[in-house]
Amino acid sequence: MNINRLSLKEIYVLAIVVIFLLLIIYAIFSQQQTGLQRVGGLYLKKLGANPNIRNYVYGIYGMYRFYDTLFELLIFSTAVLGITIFSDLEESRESSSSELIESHVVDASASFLYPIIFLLGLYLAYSAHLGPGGGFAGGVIAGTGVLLLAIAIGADRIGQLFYEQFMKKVEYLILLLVLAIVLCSAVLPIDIYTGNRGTAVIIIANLSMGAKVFIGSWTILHFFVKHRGEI
Amino acid sequence: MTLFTSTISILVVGLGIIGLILKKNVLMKLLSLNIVNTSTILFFVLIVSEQGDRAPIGSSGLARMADPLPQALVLTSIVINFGVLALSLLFTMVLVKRYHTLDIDKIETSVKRDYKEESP
Amino acid sequence: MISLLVGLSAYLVSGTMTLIFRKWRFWISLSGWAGALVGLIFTSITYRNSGSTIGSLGPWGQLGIEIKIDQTTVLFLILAVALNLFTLLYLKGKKPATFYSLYNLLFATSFSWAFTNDLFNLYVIIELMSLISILLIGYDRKTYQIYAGIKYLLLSSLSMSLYLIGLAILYKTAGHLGISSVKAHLGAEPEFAVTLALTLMITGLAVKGGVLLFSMWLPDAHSYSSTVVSALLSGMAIKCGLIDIIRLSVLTDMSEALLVLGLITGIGGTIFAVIEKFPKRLLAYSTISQVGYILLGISMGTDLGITAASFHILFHGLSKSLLFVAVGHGKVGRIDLHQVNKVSLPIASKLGLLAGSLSILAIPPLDGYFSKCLLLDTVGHSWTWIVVLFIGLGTALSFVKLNWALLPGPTKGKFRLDDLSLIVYALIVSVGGGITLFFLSRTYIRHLFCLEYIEESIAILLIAILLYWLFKKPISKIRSPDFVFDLDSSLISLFTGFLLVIFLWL
Repeated sequence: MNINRLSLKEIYVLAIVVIFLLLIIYAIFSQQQTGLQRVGGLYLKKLGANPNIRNYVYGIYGMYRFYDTLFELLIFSTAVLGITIFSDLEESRESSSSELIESHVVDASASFLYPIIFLLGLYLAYSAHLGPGGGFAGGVIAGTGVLLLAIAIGADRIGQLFYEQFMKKVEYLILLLVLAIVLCSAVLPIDIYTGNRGTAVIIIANLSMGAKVFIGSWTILHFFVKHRGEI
Repeated sequence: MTLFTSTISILVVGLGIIGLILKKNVLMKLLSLNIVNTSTILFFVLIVSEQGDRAPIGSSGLARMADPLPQALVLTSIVINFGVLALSLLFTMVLVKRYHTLDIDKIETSVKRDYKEESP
Repeated sequence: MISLLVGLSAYLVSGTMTLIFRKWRFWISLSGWAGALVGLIFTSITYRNSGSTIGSLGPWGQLGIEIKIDQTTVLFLILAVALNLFTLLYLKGKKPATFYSLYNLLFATSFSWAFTNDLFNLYVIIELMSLISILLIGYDRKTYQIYAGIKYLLLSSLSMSLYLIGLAILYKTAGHLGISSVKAHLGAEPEFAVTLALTLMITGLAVKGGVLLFSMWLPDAHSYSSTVVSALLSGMAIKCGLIDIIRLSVLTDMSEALLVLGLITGIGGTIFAVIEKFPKRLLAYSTISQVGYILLGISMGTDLGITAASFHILFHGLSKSLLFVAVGHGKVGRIDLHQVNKVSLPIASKLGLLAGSLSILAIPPLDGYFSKCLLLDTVGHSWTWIVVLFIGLGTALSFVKLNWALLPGPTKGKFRLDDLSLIVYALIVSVGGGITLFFLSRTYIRHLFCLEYIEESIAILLIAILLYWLFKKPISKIRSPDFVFDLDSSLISLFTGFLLVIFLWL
């Protein structure tokens, strides 16, 4: 898109997008402040009374709107399912070597760094209700740690070390576990998130989300590493 | 102050939209889509906040906490964008492997020719 | 609430079990269907006992997620359960296990979006539906299917980002996420920011719903994908955007914008359908023009309008899926309608084609007649009525063109068991709707069987046959403008449509 010779289509696109932006900016500035009590304030008040949960954002997506989180996990599983459907594409010639980078420095540092990264991911997933973090961030961090290990020792050995085939079947059972928690919280007349029983349920939910995201993100990263190549 | 920062994030959304329509390279279109999605999330968090809010975690005292609801919603949104990015990259990769070009016009003409020539 | 959870769990459990036990995929999916049928029965009992109810998922009242059961919900669930049974019996284990798990997940999402009344839950469910749809579109890995999938994904993701921007502005004013709570907190005369926010949200939903200027991905996606996937997408997945527009229409008065959109969609879709030469693409354009009818029904703003729209969602979904499967069964999706002479089709295909076409053309006593009569009742006798008749004439022309080329050929093939499910489905589509309405309320049926509407429908059909016989040569010479549906053009027309709506509304 040369600035000196803009074609008619480009001028039209720029004009439309500029009008669109000006409308939204005008709307933002002209919006009146209503002194309304937003529902976020109600959440803060109710969650303040529950001593189990200190991270109020977790209280919303892990407790009151857990139905949304179930669908979010389903979206993640669909993305991973799509990757597994297409996983028998032919590879390019360049990616047939098993080790990505051949260097002693990478080998040595990866083998002592990856447990630390893995442990950090596990801690973030586990303590979602006490501080920022959560199952998704923890799972992706753990998956990236395994990718660092794969750079050093080759991606095929990872499959044997981590029981990859078994993990892929376990992933779908975790989804059913999360569905069971949604059903219990919606159908049973008692509040399952209070007291010691509440802490147990919260920790099970956190660890299952972390494990599922870890397996899924490793699958996605492994696929894109295996199928790298030229145009 | 928050109005000013929300305006900046809307301008980034506009830049992403312009990139999505006007770029000819398929990978640039995908990156522009990612810019649009991420700056939408930024806009959502910024427009509801006020200056001087503290993080909604139990140990920071009950004085004037930020609204936790949009932050919970955008956590979901970030994961959705991750899934969309992964699947769009996958499909683009399959398409580029067949046609060996990244230009959207050439891909479109090749696709139409393939559809007409293939026997039903 | 129980009904939603029963149906959702049935589909999710069967969706994951097909991946673990791959050999029994047909029986697992059939048990998922049985669970959904139980959910449908619970829902209809709840609706019959207490009318339209708004509840929330979980014991937390306003803090949970809001769900709503009303007439639209029950009718859409009937559509989903019927389509599930029919496509399952038609497929019968022919596809690999991952296809069945995607199929079950699609029905799980459709079960959920019939109930949801919460603005953010809508967003998550629609995003899930788009991801599943693009995997189904690109399932056979042909290049044109993957291209259609990428186009759909880019447009859908952009549109949902626009929806989220609108939701942010609306949340700042209204403070709640459930639609009934937002309505309680919104004034009678909304300010400019709220109008803009609602326009952004309607734009996002219209891209998924099949409105002409917004969803230019539709002809490519529905005509390039395989048979059952086209039937599911055109029959069921399009309706999610429309149901959510119905839910949002209680917030404020959006009659003018929806009326103009409905007219543009109806007329534009029909014109594209008349000059099209591939059968599957013709059916996709006809879907667009029927979506115009549904938008006209919603835009009237009355309860009767929403009833007409919901019935049209149900009956059009059934007829259009029957047409797609009939065309795919005979493997004639890609022939050239202008130049072909004698095509041989199995008897089940011919019967399905005839039943589906007559239903969409609103010939009594088939299903489509009743929904079109409800729509004409709602519209009344104004200039809109004339436009509806004109759209009906265009639809009749395109379907006469389809049947003229496909029906008169020789009937081939032995009668196999596959064909039996297609024939039974054709029978259900033709007379099932009428019989059900007859049992539900006889006064309703007698009112709808009024002579004026019967005369109009049959007159339109006869005029269309005459016009097509006269003008066959000139119609086949016009080339259909396919460049409008390229990726860049689709994006440009999305924003043009958005600006059109916002300037109409002000």
